[in-house]
Amino acid sequence: MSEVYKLIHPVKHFNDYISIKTRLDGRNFDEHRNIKLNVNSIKTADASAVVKCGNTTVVCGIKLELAVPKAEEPDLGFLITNVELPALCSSKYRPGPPSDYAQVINNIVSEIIKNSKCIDLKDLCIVPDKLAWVVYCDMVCIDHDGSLVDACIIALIASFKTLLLPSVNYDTETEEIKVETNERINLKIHGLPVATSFAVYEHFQSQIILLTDPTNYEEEMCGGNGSNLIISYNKGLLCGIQKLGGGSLSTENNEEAIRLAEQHTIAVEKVINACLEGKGTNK
Amino acid sequence: MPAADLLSSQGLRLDGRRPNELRRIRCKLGVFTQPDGSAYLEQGNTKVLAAVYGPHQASKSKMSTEAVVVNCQYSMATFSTGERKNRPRGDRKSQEMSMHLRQALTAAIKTEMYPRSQIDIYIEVLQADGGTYCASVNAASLALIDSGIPLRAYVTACSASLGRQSATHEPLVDVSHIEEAADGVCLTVASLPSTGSIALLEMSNRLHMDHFNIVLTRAMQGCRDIEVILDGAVRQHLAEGWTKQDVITI
Repeated sequence: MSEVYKLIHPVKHFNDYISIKTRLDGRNFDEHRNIKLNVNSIKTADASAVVKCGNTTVVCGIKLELAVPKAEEPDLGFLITNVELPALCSSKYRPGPPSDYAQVINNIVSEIIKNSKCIDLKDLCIVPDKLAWVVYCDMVCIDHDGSLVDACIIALIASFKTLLLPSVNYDTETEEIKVETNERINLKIHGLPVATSFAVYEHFQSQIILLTDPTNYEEEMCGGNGSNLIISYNKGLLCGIQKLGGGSLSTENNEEAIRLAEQHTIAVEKVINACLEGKGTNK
Repeated sequence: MPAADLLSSQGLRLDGRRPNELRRIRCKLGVFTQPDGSAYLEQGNTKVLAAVYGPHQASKSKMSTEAVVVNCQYSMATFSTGERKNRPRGDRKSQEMSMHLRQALTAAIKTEMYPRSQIDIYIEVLQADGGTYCASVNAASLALIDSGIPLRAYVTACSASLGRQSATHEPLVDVSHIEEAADGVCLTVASLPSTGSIALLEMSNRLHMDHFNIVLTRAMQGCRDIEVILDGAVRQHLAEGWTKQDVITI
């Protein structure tokens, strides 16, 4: 019966739930879903992580390559992030070239990583002007159920934490490169950036409700793809707020969201650290 | 020609398996919420995800009044292989794979049940260690069962190669990446084991006609063995209660 009601009067059905201060899956407004994390599950990648936030599942794999640094930035390496939304992850996406939404998500993720300054690109340089690491971070969403950016960032950071760079000997005279795969050092990570998504719902055009960690359905009810408020934190510092479209936001809401995001960040940090301790950071 | 070094003097293979031994298969049905059917399958170190959407209305250009249109897409994650792949899908190899998957799976699906409709089958390879085609067919077969689409029979795929131990030739079942790379023969068979019919047969490299039958027999035996494993997984999945939200740890 409820399913029929949801199908015929989706907005009314959603409003009914909001009125009794609960969400469709039984959570409170400020409650996030369970996070499950596993690292080093893909042996062909140099580092990898699988994360599940509720039903949203993202696999991140990091591959290392060597390249010559750019002439204008001779002492910097390369960090390339890429988020993929294959047709497999939701019936909304069709096979073909990356959708606009995938490119927007990709951009948000790379901005958050860049702005959080968690990786110093100088650490990726081996010999200035001659040799540097290219770190390809590919995140594949295999089940899309909302709050994709949160899951991508967790997967990415967990993979970074387990990434070991092989030591490289570079002979400046003969330009010979020798990679010692047995001697590996951890990549330096400054802090632990975490993103938190909120869906902004205008309840009867008067009250503004923030839904933490929204599901796909909630995102759709609150203005569709990419209208989430995304707040990212690193080491207790705010390192990005994105709000692209959707319902409008008052200052109080914004402050509340920032407060909730800070709490969420602490919870996520615990999850990542617990997972890494359980596994050991070595391969 | 059989490569000489695929079998050790003790008759074991490069990864320590016996000639007629499959790699370990671990699989799980119903791993995702979004698609109508999904499955995860591990065959040794090859890890594959399959998702099925449909049957839904087909686009006008593709629609057939006779049978359902089966649409397959095979994609390999950029981090799935030793060397980073630049294009996860759309390259020549992936498109060939997609086509072969469609051909094998169409043979199993009761296509006449859903005219004017379309079934989308998406395959994502997370880690590749040889035999990705076989793993993909097996995973897709499970995903189709999970989605409840009527099938004629299980469709399974298995590969076989030929090794030489002193003077005798020994067929090797379920070829791994190192054996594929060792330049031996590789025969891939997709079949409906319970009916005994072959849906797809592909062979790379040269093989003497005298040996063809033993290699084919070994591959078919592999298909039958895989069917038993898949059937066990389906039965276990149903016994656990298929409405339960399954949690997967890859």
